[in-house]
Amino acid sequence: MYSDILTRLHYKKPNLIVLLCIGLMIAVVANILIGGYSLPLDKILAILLAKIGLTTSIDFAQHEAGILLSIRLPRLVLGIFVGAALGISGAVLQALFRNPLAEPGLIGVSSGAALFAVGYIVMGAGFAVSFMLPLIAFIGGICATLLIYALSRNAVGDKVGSMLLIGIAINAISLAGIGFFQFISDDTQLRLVTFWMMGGLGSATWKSILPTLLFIMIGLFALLRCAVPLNAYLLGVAEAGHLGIDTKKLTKIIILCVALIVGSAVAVSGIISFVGLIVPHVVRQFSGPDHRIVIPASALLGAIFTLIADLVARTVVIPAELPIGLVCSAVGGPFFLWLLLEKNRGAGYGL
Amino acid sequence: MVYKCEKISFYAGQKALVDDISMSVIPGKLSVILGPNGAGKSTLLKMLSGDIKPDSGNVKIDGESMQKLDRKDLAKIRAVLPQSSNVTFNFSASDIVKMGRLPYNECDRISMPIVGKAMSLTKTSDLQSRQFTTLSGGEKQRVQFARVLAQIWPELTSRRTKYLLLDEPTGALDPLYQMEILTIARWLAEEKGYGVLAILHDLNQAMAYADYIYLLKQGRLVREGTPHTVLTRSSIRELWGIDAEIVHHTTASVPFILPCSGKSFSPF
Repeated sequence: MYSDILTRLHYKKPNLIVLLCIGLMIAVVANILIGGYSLPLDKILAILLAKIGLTTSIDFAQHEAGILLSIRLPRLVLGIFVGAALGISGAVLQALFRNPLAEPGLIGVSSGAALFAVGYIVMGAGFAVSFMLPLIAFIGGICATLLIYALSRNAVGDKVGSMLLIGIAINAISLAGIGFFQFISDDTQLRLVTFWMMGGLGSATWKSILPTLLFIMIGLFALLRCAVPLNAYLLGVAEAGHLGIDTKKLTKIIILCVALIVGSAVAVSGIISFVGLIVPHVVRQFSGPDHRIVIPASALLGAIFTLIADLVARTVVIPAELPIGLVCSAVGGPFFLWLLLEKNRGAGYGL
Repeated sequence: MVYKCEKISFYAGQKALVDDISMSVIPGKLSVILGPNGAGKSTLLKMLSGDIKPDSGNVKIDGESMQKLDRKDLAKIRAVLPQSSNVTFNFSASDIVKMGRLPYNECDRISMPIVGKAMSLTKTSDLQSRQFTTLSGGEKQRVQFARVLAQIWPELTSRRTKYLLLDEPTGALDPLYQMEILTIARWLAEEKGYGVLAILHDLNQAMAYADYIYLLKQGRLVREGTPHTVLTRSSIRELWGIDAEIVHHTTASVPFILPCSGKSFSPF
């Protein structure tokens, strides 16, 4: 009888991860190939080979190399990292709060970052000093998180539950602040603010995304290591403690890592909502709740989802661009509803 | 090998939920905590298990304070079965049981046989691939019990005394499974030398299965000893306000507590 369990657990569905990796590769190729300016595959290869010092017989213009190396590639890399950051944050926050509705937007990280950024656009020097904006947004995200953490430390009883409620309150306050800044802004600022809030990867340059990539990479690695303790966390906080997990330390690590990666993501790309909520759910429908799979799979699917959304955003209304946040919600919402209803019809809805 | 608390108290505001209690989880014995609602049983167990820190006094295992012990080491010798479980994510029953092996950092090849044995002992083998969230309350409780057993499963190599704390383990269970869970607890105490401590509500279960009983009332330890010496007519009337007969039946090995009437009970 053990052999039965053995085979079932031994087969750890690595194929989901493999499938997602293939999916990501397809999304990457599509994002490089498709765009307002058409770059055929042979030229792309020639440009890339030329970059590492190999010359080929295929000719390409200097501006074509520029489009690929300075516009599409940084944007692609940023999309992968931001998507992975959002997907993974949703997955770990849902586990930490033991609540399937948790996502970075809900605990105030995104809106705290947005409040600072919007305040900077309206009150500060304007959009011109663009490299300051990511930094300001990141500080906002960290501030919101630390505030939530500090306030919930004094809470009696269910600490994580009150953290969620405090997060919602911080969220509301931040949104009110953003509303106030929008109210006092002039027309140009309002347009900038609105567009930034809807999110986008368009402003990516290698220089502007470098700190974001670094922070997200650190956060992702730290969170990947939390997979096994997070599984126990789903049993309950006390139960996880009985199994030898330092639950306070785990909470601290996760909150700080999420603030780090979401703050960095919001800083360069604005608020891209819905990815953090939907991606872990979709992953769990296929993989079950084991975080050793859910966390890496959420990172991969988050990246794929963001790349596809960005592809749609920048191709449907050429030469203009839709805000990526709009595309995410418009595509993600109905898909998510369909998934829930479809699952409901089967053997009972489970998260 | 001692697992004990010394003069521990816990306050909610001014009110002492647990007031200056000293007791121990005795290796090789099944100890039971009894007391009316609000007596502080669960709070006491939470302090013993390390969930909450006592406001005064301390909990010690082998002379070492609870807070100083390494969490993983503690998890290998002490398991706690909670009163109820609230798992909202879709793990299979065997995934839940396997989490009991988490402190050991071992591969599936070692942990899965133990998971299998723990599940067959609690008669949950049939449920192994079922989704935990779709199980009935009683089935969930038995799967959780299997998880707890897997956590402190007897090893051949370790001679350390292990401890099992059970918070109302029989609550959601059918009579047969109530008896089974307590039988397993007794077996661990008698055969494996474990120290087992359980909070129970049923006085007859305590009479039948306990080696040693602690009686709690309003946060204080009012009496302790073997079932026969502790569960008397007078103590039952004092603690629960019930007049009871202690009946010796010819076919049963232990006396039976038969409640007769509640003290001044009137619904209107």
